[in-house]
Amino acid sequence: MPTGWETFPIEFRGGLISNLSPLQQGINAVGSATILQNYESAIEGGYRKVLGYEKYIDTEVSGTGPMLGVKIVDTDYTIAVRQNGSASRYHLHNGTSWSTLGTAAGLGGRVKYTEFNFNGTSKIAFVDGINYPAIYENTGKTLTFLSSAPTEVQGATDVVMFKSHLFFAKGDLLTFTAPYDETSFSAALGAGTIRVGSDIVGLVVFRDNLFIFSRDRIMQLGGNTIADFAMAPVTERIGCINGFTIREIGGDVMYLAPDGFRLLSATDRIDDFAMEVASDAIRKDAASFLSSSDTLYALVIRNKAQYRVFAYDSTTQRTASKGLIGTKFSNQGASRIEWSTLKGFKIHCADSKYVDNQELVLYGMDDGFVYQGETVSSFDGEDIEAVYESPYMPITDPQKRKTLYKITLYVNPVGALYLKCNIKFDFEKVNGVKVIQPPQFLFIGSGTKAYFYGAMDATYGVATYGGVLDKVYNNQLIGSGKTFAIRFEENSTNPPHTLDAAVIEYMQLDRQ
Amino acid sequence: MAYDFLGLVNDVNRRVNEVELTSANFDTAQGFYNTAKDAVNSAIRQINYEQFEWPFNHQTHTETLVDGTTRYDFPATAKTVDMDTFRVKRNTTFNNQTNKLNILSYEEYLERYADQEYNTDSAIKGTPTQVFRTPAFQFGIVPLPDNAYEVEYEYYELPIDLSAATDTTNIPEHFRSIIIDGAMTYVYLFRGNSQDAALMQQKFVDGINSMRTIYINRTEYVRTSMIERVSPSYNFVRIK
Repeated sequence: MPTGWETFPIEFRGGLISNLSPLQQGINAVGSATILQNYESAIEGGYRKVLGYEKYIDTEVSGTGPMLGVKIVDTDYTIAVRQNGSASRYHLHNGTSWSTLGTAAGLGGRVKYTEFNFNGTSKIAFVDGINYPAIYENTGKTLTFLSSAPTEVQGATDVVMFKSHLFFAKGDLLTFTAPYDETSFSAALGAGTIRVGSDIVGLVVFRDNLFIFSRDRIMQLGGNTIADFAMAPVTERIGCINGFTIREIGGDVMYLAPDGFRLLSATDRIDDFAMEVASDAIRKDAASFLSSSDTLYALVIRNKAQYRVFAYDSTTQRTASKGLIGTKFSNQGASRIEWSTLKGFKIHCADSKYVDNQELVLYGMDDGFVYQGETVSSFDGEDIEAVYESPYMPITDPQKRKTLYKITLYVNPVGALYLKCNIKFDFEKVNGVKVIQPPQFLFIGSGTKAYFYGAMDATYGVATYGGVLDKVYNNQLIGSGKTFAIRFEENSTNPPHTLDAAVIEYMQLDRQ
Repeated sequence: MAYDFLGLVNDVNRRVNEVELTSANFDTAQGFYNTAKDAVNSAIRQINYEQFEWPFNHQTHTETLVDGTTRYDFPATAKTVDMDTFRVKRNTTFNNQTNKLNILSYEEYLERYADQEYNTDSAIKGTPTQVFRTPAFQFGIVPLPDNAYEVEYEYYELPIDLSAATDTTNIPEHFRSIIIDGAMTYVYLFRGNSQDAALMQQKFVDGINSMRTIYINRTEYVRTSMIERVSPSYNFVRIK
């Protein structure tokens, strides 16, 4: 005997999940996603359509090929590295135009950098895996190559500042400068070299230690000077396979291990670290993403607690280029990381930094322009295709048919909304026969606000005061099935919206 | 919405908030949709079972007789045949007039005329004057026809089930809702909703009764049989 209409609320949270069977996910993770493309798990709750990018500087950086490095210096100044002939050339933008800072001897790879200040002058050290390190000095806006550095430093693949030393990684050698002197490699002054035993993939300073990642192990270097630097293993079993993916996020360090993205987290015990696989929840999507390219680049967006990693493939169209977003909801550990995918970001290098209390995000792609992210709702004027698809949810008994009658969608738009919605039943096919699905319908918001006299942000005499956008949308549903999924698509340059929750009104039928 | 099988099934779909079918997916639709199709056919069948002679099932059939053949099959879809409607059509070639055939019982045929089926003498042949119903859903002609006369008669057909999306029913569109009420009985039972199924069943029966009132309980006109008084002195009524 069927019951009356009942209500089934769906709270949009949990992010992308691809390590559960479809029905398990629909039962245990209602509101999670099987597709979450160009949406991000918002730290305020819900799934928010991502922001795109626009040209930060309208003038192309001279040279050829993809951008090899982008570094934010401060409010007006940006450094970009690009191939020029047979060498890497460093360019400085002063807010008005690009100028050449210097040209390396040869053509290097993508640059890594570290900021330091040993003597009251802000500096940035760059390494590119081929050339001598370059030091940018911010006061004079000059760039010098450490041509007199030992050969152990030429072609360094990573550089970090740790305990007043610059540490360079090359092969299995870790070379560090004398304290407070980035140009001195004299052992007598406190510089030195440490052979770590296997090729170094990346370096990161975390807590009180320097962590050294190689492909098959992770080590930590403690101490303050050459006199007490001491190396200890963190793990001898698993390492990092891509140094451009090592980033500190939310009190942990995320990196790409052979089995997925892992988190190096401190534990309650002194000198103990956990290494959870953070991408376990998206095992299939992570595998698909990692198979798309070996050229990865990770970026942290601090105000969103996000770790973003982009795959770059020169033969892939920008619109098809992939990425992953991990939003970290807990301070430590991988238990509260929600994932989603990116599409349309062909990022070769990137940087993010707080400038004047605003986080500035810059992308370097393959066309010689520097793009600014997180400001506009388009891909440099083109549509952003955002897709959310829920798992197939049985609501109650997966063997009983339910007729859906109504959906109420709670969404938080910033402007106009043009959301296409599909309800899908019974995994689309049963016994190889296609299940007939209801037609698509739309949730449309014009972006026109309702205005309230006396609102806190009201301004007398101004037409747009106290505006509130529509946040609740209703639509009748048709169709029945034993399980159902919701799919939202928005392919536009509309301002972002946040999917908050949906409420389905349904009637459960009898067993058939 | 067209009044065809697709339209009727979609009427059912709308009532239970199901996705409507299209001509493209009508044939391949599975699950509930097969139930909906069966339900529509069942409702149409039920309406046809309820009354022998719905006017919308009326058909006329012309049978061309074969020289020397007595028995002929009724149409396969014939439900009831009105034996009082058989007539031989005028034919200038055979030089015969239109002539209504008299009904002959099968028993009388056997007793008096059965020999015509075995007698090869052409002298016994002639223009048909009588018709009889055989036990095998056939009719017979007496005397044995001597030419290919055309015999026309009327019958009520038993409609065949709808199958293709564009198949149509003989039931007039005015009674579309009655068909759907009947179909809903089966659909609700399929969904385990016996309460609504019972309501729909009652509505369906009421609808059929209304159809019967409209189509069957006909009285063309009522005429008094009372005659005028012939003489004021005689105070009686004569019954005709």
